[in-house]
Amino acid sequence: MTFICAYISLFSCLLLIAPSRFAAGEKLSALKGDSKISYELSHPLHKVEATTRDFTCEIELSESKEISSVKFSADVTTFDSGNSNRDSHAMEVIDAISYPDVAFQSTGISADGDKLTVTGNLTFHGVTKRVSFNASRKLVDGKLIVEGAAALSLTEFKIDRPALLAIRVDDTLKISFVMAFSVPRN
Amino acid sequence: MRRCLPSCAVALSFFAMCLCATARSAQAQFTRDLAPKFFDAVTLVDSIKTDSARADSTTQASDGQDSIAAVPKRKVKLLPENIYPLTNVFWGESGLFRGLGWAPLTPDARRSELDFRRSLLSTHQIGGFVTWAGLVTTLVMGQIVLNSYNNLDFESALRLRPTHQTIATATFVSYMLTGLMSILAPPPLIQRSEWNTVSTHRVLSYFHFVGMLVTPYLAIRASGSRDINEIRSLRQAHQIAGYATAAILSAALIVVTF
Repeated sequence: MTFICAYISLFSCLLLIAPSRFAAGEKLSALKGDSKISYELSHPLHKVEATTRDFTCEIELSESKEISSVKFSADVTTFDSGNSNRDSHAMEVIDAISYPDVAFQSTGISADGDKLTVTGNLTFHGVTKRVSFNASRKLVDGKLIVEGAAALSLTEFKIDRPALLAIRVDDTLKISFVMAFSVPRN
Repeated sequence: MRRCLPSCAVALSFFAMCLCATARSAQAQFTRDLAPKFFDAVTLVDSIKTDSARADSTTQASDGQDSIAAVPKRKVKLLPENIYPLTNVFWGESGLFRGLGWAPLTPDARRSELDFRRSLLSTHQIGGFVTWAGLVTTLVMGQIVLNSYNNLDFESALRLRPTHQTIATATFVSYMLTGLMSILAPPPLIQRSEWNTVSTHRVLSYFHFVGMLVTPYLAIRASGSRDINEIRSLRQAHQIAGYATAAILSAALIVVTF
């Protein structure tokens, strides 16, 4: 009997401890080495993918240990497609001298298990638009991993689509990301 | 020389038209985009606010979140870390054009430079195709002339040779002007130390440049020679150089599409 009581107590303690690993109201910053964000552009001759790991991304945890807000900012000139000439052309198109940053601030996040629907304001090329995208979260080796993808319209952000051999790229800019956060051990 | 003049005139007219178009486009871009803009750390945020305000009201953020305030106030690096030596001579931080005051290193001027660069490179692209077409035509004509010589059909050879020379001269002028546009183009915003398709395009350009000098030189040498054996070997070398140059130029054109 004593053994069963001890077992139940230990199990209850574990149940209490597990969620409390996410401290309520706590802000977590994305780990640079494990996080990345990429964009993909399609052209009949090419599919271009550029990635950056040089950005800041901060999430805030609510009382219920859910991700309550996301704040993201990146220097657009750090996106690397493996061809700096192409990246430079992209910077001309989005006028990186005037608008060197892309920023996102969530306005609402709804969770369904590990699936998240994030809504917020994206500021890109000097234009702020409300965007919504799906993401998923998981815990891997003590790290909270949030992955997701979004699709933007270049035209909506007032970007003149670049062309190669007089053929313009698709209007859709596909964004994908992996954000890793170190979960505090308390 | 007199025969070359019309072809030179045609090539120069083409590039004059291209340059006029380039200048008009740069001027239009300047008037449209640059004149009304101010750039510094503070106005960057102002312009973002202005642009965001004109965004579609149905999709515009309306809940007062601070996404705009989240954009850091900072300036972007105007020149790339890596810059080609020749480009550096003209457009480097203390380059010739900066020293002369023609191209001050300010965000507005740099934006204008990038527009100018894009116009030059677009014209360079068109010029490349025009030059390639000219070179292929020159090769075809040259081969017909050579076949006529080999078949002892001197009448045809002498009749077609001036056409070959005229097209060759026009191609040469077009080639040099096309190359000049790339050489004089301002530097890009980003230039990392890496090997990419443009690096290959650039390396190939050194080879086709040599080919474009050697090929006509061999033809001039052949025309001036009175030794039939020397003429034959120079003609053959001229032919090989012509084909090799066309092959390298084709490779240089194709490689940038990857």
